Amino acid sequence: MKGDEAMLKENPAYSPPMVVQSNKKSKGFDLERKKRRAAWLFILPAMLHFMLFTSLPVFAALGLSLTNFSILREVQWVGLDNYGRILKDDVFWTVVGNTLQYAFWTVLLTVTLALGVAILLDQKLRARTWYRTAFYLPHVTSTAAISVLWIWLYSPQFGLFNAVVGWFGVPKQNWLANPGLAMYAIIIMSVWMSVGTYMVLYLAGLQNIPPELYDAAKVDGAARWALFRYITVPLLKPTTFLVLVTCLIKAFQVFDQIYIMTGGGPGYATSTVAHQIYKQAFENLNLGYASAMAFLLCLLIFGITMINNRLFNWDNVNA
Amino acid sequence: MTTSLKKFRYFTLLLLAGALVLGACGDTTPTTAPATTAAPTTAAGTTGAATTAAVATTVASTTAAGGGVKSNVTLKMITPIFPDADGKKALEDQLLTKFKQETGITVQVDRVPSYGELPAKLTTAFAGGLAPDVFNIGVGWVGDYASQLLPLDGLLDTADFYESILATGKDNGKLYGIPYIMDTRLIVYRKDFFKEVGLDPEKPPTSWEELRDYAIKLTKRNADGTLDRAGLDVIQSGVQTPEQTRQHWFRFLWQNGGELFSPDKKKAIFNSDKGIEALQYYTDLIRKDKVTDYGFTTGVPNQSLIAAGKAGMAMVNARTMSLEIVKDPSLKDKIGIVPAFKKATQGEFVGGSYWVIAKTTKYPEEAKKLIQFLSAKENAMVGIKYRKAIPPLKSLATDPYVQEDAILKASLDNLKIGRAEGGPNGWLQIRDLFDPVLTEALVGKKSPKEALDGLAAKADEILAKAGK
Amino acid sequence: MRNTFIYDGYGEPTRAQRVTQRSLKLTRRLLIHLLLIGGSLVMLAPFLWMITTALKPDKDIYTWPPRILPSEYHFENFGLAMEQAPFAQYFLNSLILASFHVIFNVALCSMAGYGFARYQFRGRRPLFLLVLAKMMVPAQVTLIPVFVLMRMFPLAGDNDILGQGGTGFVNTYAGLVLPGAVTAFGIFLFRQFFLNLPVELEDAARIDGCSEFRIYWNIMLPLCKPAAVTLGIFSFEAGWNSFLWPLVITQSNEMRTIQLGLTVFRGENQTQWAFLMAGTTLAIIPMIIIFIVGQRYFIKGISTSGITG
Repeated sequence: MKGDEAMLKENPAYSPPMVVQSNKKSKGFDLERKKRRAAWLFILPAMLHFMLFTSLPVFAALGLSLTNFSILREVQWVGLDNYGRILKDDVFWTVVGNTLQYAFWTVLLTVTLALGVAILLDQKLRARTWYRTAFYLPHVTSTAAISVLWIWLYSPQFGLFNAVVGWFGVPKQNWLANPGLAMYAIIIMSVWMSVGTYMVLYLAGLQNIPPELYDAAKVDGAARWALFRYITVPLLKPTTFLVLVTCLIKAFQVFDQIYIMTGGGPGYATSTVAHQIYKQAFENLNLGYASAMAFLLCLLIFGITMINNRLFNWDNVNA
Repeated sequence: MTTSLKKFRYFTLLLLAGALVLGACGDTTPTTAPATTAAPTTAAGTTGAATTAAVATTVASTTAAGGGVKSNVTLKMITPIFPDADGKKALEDQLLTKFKQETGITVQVDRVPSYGELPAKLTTAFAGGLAPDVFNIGVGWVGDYASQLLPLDGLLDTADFYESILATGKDNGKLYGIPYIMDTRLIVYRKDFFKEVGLDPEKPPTSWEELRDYAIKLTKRNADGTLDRAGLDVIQSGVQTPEQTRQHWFRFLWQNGGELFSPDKKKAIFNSDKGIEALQYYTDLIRKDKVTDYGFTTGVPNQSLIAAGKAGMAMVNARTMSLEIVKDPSLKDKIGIVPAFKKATQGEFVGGSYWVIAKTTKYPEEAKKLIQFLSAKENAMVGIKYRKAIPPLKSLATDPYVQEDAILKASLDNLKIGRAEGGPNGWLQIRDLFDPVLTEALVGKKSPKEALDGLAAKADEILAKAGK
Repeated sequence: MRNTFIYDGYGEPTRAQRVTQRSLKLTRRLLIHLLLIGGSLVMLAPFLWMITTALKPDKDIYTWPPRILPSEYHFENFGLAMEQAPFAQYFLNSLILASFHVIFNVALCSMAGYGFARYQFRGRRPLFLLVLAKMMVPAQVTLIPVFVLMRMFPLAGDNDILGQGGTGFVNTYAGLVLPGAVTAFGIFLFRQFFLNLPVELEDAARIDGCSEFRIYWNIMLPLCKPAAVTLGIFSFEAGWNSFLWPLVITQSNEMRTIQLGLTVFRGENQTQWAFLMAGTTLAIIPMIIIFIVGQRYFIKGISTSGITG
């Protein structure tokens, strides 16, 4: 690294990073220490909460996953037996497949649509507030209430969906009872529900891009597409990473709409890992088994997040 | 307390509250018994050994002979059957106020929204050492819960209960659950549609064969093959509780002479020839006779097809049907009830709620007093009327409340030949497997035999584990 | 040769080109509006149905096929629904829960996110990965351990120092609020936003002798207003709509929240449709207001003024 004097020589406009005229060394050392201490102080409250209300319970749950814990019986240590049983269970692999299918389509559609809507609604536009509110509205209502509405929309006889596909000459479908369609029906509903959430995140992310950058590029005569491609997309990278990871995790943990709309059926066609975890924990009272399943799910999510990060190098921006 | 248990608790506490709590494990009192987790180190020396533990491990407070009932105590109750404002009025304002006047005992009620939320509530309460003194369980749960309950033999004069119903509150000969409100499944039909297709509206089907024939006649399809009216709604479409499929099939199983489990409750036998035949019949109604389509529904939760005029006959939950008639009184004259079938034998599905006492209770005498009070005829009737349910007591069969309502009356007839699901320890894990697998048979993904054999194998595995 | 109508960016546009430009712009606007109106309708349709259902008499709800508009309007359904349970108390409890979630989340998560984004320190990456990993554990399996923890919280609710003897935070506001007071998502969100800010700002402030906290509080946090608003909206909503945790941690009617209250309309064997929809409609009003107010901050220029230059 060059000294400040050298830098000054090369570039008269250079200003040293800090006021370090005298006693340079110890001051810089102090600053580093001060910064480190500040960093720890900043994260301390959240981390304390985190240790208490997350790490402890997660460790406890990890312990539970090695037992046959249930309020109904004497608790026994079973080692990795739960994990072994889950991996041997064909139902588990079916629901893993369903979960992957659900996650793939939901994440793909949600993220693309959310970005599109956010860009449209980031411009100066009449009635922008109302559009934004409309798109966000599905998200504020509890999933339970929304799911009940959608059961009606999907009704085979008089539901809105069959009316709409009828315009295109498609015969009436039994959306939620057809094993081949039910999962897609739930995916459509979930995308509808969550576009608003990620639109909000993208809107917030778009505010983080300095408008001067666009102005400068416009002066250079850049086309709209080029602006998007070379300014918006790269500068949205941290937001996109946030959106992708959150959306992915949420998709892998999907539960409410499935519980209410299909109960995982017909057969196991729409059951997901989280749905099975809930059933094991709170219907079968098999908490040890449910915990083991939850950690397998974590492993799956973690793996996919890591692969995603490696492939697209999302998190190297400024990090 | 064994050393392994001590060690187990030590680690539990360590995990949950850190060093602070470390010293506390030696002598916990019943209600404060900490719960839960096991931990890796526990296993090191004791794998396979009786690492007993955790959930509010306490000495069961046995009935002290002649123990007096104290009046200045507060009992805790968790109940899912009185969720709304009317439920509060019935339970808290009416019954428990009266109980307090009579005995001086206060009851703190936690009214949870429904049976769906009850297990989460009970699990956390038990695990946290805050188990209620008195709570409800459903039909079939007794085998699983017995180890946590106080036996209630001799608490009430049980001669007035229907024998079949009382039996469902017992495990290994001991009575744990006092039947409170009951509900059965019925087959109902629309008299107006019977007329329309030339059937005598006063002559409902009397056998499986007639049921199928009538159903075929009553089915109405549009030109494009889509269903306009189901002949027989076999899965009570539109009702939000998915366990309906399983419960409706059990009736066919029992009527055909089949059983769920072997008499010692150690083996699943529902995949017997009789069971397969019963499921074949059930499946054929959809797959072969096409009297309905799987998933044909009103789309409106708790709006049945038969009330909407979209089914000629339907298997229903008696309570749902009564409530629909209350909502739309014009249905009263249109709905007829199919009397219970006899094939190999008679058997109708009964559901319901029981009162039980947690064995961790500090106030067993007071809790028993409360159950006695709630089960006394005139008090029981308050809850039964609020739920539009059927009383489990013979002497209440002549009550005008039952006699003046055709659905309730028929339901009561079914009660006499009623059967309950469940029984063995492990049932709560097995029951969940039924609906998806039965559905796979109903939509043709598996043959009835494949479906039931696979299910029985899994059930056996669970029973073997639970029995250990 | 120059195109007569379409401006190619060289020199002054001709009159014809200006007209084309303007009409192109208009067409583009129109298309955008059409797209957005269509999208909004798709988003809103179920809500319109919800509101009309709330106004329907019972016989309309149970007609077949379903009616879109009520045959008669029963505005009193809203009032009647609210009488089915102590909803005023439920609203208040939910408001307390949601507000505390907003305050804690925005304050603590922004600090933590700032720490992760703007400082180099040992253990930063593993700790942050831990935060991410937290999001991956389904809440269903930590429910019981967290409950036991609240119950055994030392010195709370008649508990002794060892967490014994009382009921801890069970059935208290503290119990209701605490577990969701900091979320991994919040930390993650703020970290991502703080990452984007230019480092010159900080350094300039340091030269001026600002303390680290003042740099965060007076300079950096105001630049992340959209992130703070976003997290505020999300936290409020998560608190307002939470179900499972309030269900297990509250034990008396006085402590119940709005979402638990709404379940009285969805019984095991019957659903009181008009009331359920009326209640749900009323329950989303606070969140709509908060969103409309909050979304004003998603406007260009506010956040970035003064960053560059």
